[in-house]
Amino acid sequence: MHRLSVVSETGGGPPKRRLSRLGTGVPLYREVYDSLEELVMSVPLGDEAPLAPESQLMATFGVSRGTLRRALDELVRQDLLRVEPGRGTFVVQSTKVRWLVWDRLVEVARPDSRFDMDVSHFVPDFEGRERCDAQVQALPDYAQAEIVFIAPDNSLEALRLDALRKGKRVVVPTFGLRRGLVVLDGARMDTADMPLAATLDGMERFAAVLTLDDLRRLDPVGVVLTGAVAVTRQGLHFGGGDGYFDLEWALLRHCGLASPTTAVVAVVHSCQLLDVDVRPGPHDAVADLIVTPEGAVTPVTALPKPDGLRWEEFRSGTGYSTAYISDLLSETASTKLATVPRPTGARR
Amino acid sequence: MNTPQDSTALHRERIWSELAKVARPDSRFHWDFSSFIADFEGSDECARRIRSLDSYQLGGTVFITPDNSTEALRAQTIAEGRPILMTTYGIARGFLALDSGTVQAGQEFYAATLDGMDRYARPVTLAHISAGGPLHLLVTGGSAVSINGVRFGKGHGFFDLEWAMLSEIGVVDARTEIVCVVHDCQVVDEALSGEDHDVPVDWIITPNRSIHVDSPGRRLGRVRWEMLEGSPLAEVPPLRELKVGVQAL
Repeated sequence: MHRLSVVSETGGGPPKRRLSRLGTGVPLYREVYDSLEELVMSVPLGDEAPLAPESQLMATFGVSRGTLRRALDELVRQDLLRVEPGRGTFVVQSTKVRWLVWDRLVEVARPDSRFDMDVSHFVPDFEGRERCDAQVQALPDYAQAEIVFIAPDNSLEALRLDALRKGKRVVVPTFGLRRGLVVLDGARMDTADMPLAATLDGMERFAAVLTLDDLRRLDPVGVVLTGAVAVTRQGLHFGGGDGYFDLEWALLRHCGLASPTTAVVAVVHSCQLLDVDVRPGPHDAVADLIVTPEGAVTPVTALPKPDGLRWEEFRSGTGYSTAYISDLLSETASTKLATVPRPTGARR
Repeated sequence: MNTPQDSTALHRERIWSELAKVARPDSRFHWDFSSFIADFEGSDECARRIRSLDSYQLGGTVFITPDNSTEALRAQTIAEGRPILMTTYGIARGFLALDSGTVQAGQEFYAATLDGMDRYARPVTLAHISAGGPLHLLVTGGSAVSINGVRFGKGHGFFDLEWAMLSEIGVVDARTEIVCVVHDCQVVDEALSGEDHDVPVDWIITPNRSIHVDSPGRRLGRVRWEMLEGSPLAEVPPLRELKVGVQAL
């Protein structure tokens, strides 16, 4: 777990502390790692200044360049730091946000059937989430929609069930998008099957995984519901780390299921709502409304969302190196559709 | 020469590639067989075969591991109104008890999933399990099982630990039967020698065969604390309870 501790700062610079080599049994680089992490996590979010130069950090911690580099390398590997040659070492804000929020979230999270309380692996359901459901149900975009997109987050299981019970069709990705998306049809499903269909364990028993052509044949979704690890008051969404939601949004746009005016609603616990200004990247699907148990927040400035797939902006490897995604990849690569904005509401 | 570990790993790898042809992916772990015990075509037939075993017919609570391959058996057991004892995935939150009577008709399959278990089952302490009396039947999945009942799991030793805890509180004994549910492709048709802490099984149940293992030579288990030192597993609720001493209810 990552600690949330504030380092006492003297004179605005990094903390002066000399590390002990003796008696702890902890490798020295590991102590430097911990101290650097504390330092990085204690700086206010949004402060995008680079770390002090290596020589200064070496003096601060009283260690050699080799030891410092080993600690820095490890933090780069953890994706908390990013080295820009010639410019310096920077904090990866999205990772920092996740680490900060994960520490708070475990206090209110409900365990997952597999990952238990390891919230770095999934978006958990949380205490008070029931009060979010009622707010979402009252939204005209949701109430009137015949078809809705709902992310495979545990916090949205009850809303998936609610949508099915109201006879809506629910487009839901498999966890991590590994096997693509399915569509559950509340109008054609036995009521008794709905609680199971709303779970990750159950959904694939009631619907086949959609091909891209299946996706294109669907009607546009009325609203897009997602959980998050964190969301800023500007609507910037932080997912588990692999950009699944951004990819899902891009996919919806690519297949004509969402338009620039389709509302993205993020459902989160208040501890996941951050009052910081972090600039969105070009692939960030920002939320138009943030629903917490304490009420809804509308981001003041409406930020544009990506209009389709831009593969180069998604991280390769990890979760979506599946047949489904490679089909998509070859399609977008061959047609160049990925970067061509399509007119609002255009269908094929 | 192959050490037991080598041959275990070899069998696991070979069988996982066969299993992929008949297995069902996990909702979270996709096809990563090192993270879950997969369900497979015909697991409902395994459940029917288990129903005819004497140890099942004896009635009472059935202990069933939280594997995907034992889900059909859980659904069947719930439908029959029988109580189920299980662990949470990775024993992380310890044991759960499911009173099948609380599951509404039509929700048996939901309650049988790991996602659904969390809705219907309640956490139980070792003290409660101990007060519930002896278990006649324990059912587990596996990555592979040899014809003489030596079972391989995911490689974390969860079932060995479950057996050890249930042994320590005295709810299992020499008469308790252990059933391993696997696909035919997971049966290794040779006698393998297990390791000290392995828990050999009495029955291997596949969709097509019910194989009885004559005298699997199983001993009661004990928690090997020295093996757990420093592991997060040592902090799971039942082990913490066992460490301070299970209180009589």
